[in-house]
Amino acid sequence: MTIRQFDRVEGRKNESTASGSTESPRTGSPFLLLFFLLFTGYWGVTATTVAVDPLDLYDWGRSPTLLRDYNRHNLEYLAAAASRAPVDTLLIGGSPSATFTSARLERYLPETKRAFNFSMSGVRPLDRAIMTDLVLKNSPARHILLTFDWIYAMPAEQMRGGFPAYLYDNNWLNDLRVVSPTVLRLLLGVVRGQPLALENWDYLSQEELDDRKFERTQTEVNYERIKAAVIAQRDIIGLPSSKKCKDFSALNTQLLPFAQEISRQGRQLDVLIPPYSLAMYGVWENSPTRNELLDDRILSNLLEMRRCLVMGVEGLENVRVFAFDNETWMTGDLANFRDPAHLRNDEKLIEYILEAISAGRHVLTAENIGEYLAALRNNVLTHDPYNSRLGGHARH
Amino acid sequence: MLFTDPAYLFLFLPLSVVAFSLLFHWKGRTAALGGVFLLSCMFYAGWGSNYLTILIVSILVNWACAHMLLTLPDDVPRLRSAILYTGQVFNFGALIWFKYSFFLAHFTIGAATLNAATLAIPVGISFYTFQQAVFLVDAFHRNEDVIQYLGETSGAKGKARGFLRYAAFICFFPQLVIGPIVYLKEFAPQVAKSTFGRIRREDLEIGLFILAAGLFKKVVLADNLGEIADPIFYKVEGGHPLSNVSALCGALAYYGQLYFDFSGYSDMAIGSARLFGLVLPINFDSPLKAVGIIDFYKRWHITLTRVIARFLYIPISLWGMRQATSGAGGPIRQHTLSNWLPLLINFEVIALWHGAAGTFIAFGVIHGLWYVLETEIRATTLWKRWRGSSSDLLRAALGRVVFTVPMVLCFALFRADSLDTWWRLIGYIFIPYQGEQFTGRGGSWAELLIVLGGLAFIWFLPNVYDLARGVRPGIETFSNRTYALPYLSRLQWRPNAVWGLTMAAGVAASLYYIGRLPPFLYLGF
Repeated sequence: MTIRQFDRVEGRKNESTASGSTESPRTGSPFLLLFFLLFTGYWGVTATTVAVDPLDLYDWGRSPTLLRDYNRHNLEYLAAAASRAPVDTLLIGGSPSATFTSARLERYLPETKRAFNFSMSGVRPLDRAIMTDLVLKNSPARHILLTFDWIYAMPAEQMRGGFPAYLYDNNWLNDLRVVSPTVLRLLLGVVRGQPLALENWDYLSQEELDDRKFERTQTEVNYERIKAAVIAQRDIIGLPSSKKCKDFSALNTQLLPFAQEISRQGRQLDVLIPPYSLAMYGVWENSPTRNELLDDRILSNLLEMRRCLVMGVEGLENVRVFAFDNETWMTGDLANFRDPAHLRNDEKLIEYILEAISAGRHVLTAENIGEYLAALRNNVLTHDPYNSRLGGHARH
Repeated sequence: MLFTDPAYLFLFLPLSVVAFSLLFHWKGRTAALGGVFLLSCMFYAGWGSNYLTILIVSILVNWACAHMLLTLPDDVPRLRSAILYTGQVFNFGALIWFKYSFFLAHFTIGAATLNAATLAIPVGISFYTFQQAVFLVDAFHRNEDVIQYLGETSGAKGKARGFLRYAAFICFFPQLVIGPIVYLKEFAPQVAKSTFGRIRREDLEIGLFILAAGLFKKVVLADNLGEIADPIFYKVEGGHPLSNVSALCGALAYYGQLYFDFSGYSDMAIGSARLFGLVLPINFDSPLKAVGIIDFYKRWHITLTRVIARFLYIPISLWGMRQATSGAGGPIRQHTLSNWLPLLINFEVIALWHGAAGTFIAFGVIHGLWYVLETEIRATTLWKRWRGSSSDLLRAALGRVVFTVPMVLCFALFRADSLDTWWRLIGYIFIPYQGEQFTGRGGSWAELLIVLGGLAFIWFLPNVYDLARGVRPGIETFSNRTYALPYLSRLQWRPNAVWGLTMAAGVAASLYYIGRLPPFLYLGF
């Protein structure tokens, strides 16, 4: 059995290894030359990237021109979105707010001349906090829209997988990782004097995909699955919350300090609670993978978190919280959602929400929060999933 | 600092090689080794000052023990033994404490109060502990290499010199974190050579070749296979059903990921060391081409296998043999004590070294029984007769099939978060699933083809050491047969433009993905 030969290590015998057998006299090594070119090329590109600073990471970076909305997965772009780029309304969101394009923001928020929507898929508290810190430090936007997703119920230290946190720390060594195909393309564009954008970054490129996804979900099979989940979880989602305000670390250590600072700077902060469908809570409870993300009892815990938010920002100048969950014509009809947590890409729905924000309707305050929470709780617990598009004539 | 970090590849490593060589030329061998120690501390400090403190304390304690073992006269054998055992208790006590505190905490403070700090295991503790444990035994036996390497250690200057040399051997950054576990008898003769401290073209060429191959394995192959495996395992962990294709895709993807990740690391370690002119032992020698589990363990994580064999298997086996021959009992008892039991203990210790989890324990039991079974089958007359009458090709083909299927399933134990998850994954692979599948990414036919494409690198191409066998790229522990396909066996690496372009393309592909920087899987062990 050869495992017994463990000690047949012949270090001395193999000493000659170091001398190798490539001893034939050669004047130059093409092998080394290619590696040398690769090495110097990498340094050249890195030095150029750092010098030009297309993402506006450093003090010497030029303020980039933001052309389009951002809602894709190239996370390096976060820095630029939160940079000194001239924007007056900045939307910081997650996947539910991707449809709130800059064009729509400019259309329905009359005071907005130049908007930018930074809606990052799969956002998590720590990367959101990095974003808001950069906004406080750099962004000239006078009006900040921030979505208050369920992610704020996660621990504050949770970060999106693959998020380039190395770009935002104080360790310059790890900035060498900034060189990527995406950044190189951006760099070339910036050097040519073009705005900081790549094709497929705006919502228009995603719109068709979302619309197709929406159509795929409008089937009786999907409707029955959602309905079954809601019915199965009805007794469970009503359980009381297991959390207190102090338990929401991301809210307490990230969002509320951000709101206080924005208010102190005299800027406008509108916190938007993205409208989830009333069926979402049951579907969530029914999914083991979703439940792993948060403590279960999603409904009660999210309601408690919203109460904590409203009480936390109460009295702050220029800070408002908007919610639309109790608009049951919207949240009670699955025809308005591409999945239970994501509003569909529909001009009228977005117009309704943005115009309400512009007019100051649907604002949650310390006075009406109790009523709002009770109504929402009741709406969810008594909800029978409904889809006006299927109308009893489901398509298969 | 990770080997795949551009800061390592493009800054730390080249500057270290230059600094090492300059120190050698200006101040000599010991200064160069002292420089290696300092550079290694800088390399390791990236994981936190606490871990660096633990490493340095460990080195100081071991150095003190080793120094006493070397300087105490032979007429105090009990004292020398006591020092050896004290050092080893410190080494393995610390290892057990840090590796199993999570497991122990479950019983003492309860799972609810566990946090990340409780889970923290100093990076590389297993590897530098094993290396120091071996060194202490060598010092106890007054091994010639130890005495020559450390030199005269009396007086303050001698002690300082000895310490720097010892610390450089333990900390040498290419092998500090995940091995290979190096014996002093492999390291010391190279330090004594006249070529030590010189930057030589052939070392640069061979080193860069191995380094680039390792980088490609890790960044392009392992990390991309991981992106396929992860969502599939998440689905199983979350209770979602999988199709046979998805489950097979997940298991195969992780099979490839673990191999490319760990062997990629080892290649990068060996390549980095070679830039300093130092040759490290080969740690992986095409283990997934093995024709059986005995063959596999001569090829997988070779430097750990030999340490475990030396310190665990051989002593237990010798003890068992003595017990078997001294007492009554038939051949079954003798076999059990001298062979089966030592093997089972050996594999269970290897398994528990990975962590105190049910999946690892199951891994150890399966591999132990498998090894025993294969050993016994190969000892039968029937097997020997068949070996004599069958072709090598047929035996190798059958052996690979019989080996690969269970090994793919065993590797999944390393990725599954529980035995239940693992069991369900196996069920999804073998039992046709008729129900509705969870939608989302992970496990399509296209991904399965990508995974098989990645595994084709393993099954059909020669490994790095086969390619570079003409220039002896690493120290061999076992005389393994090469399993390169016949028509590719003549393929040899040469420091020419074709190979330069090939490797540069591999590095360029790696740089495409370099920003992701996921850690090496074995950092968790």
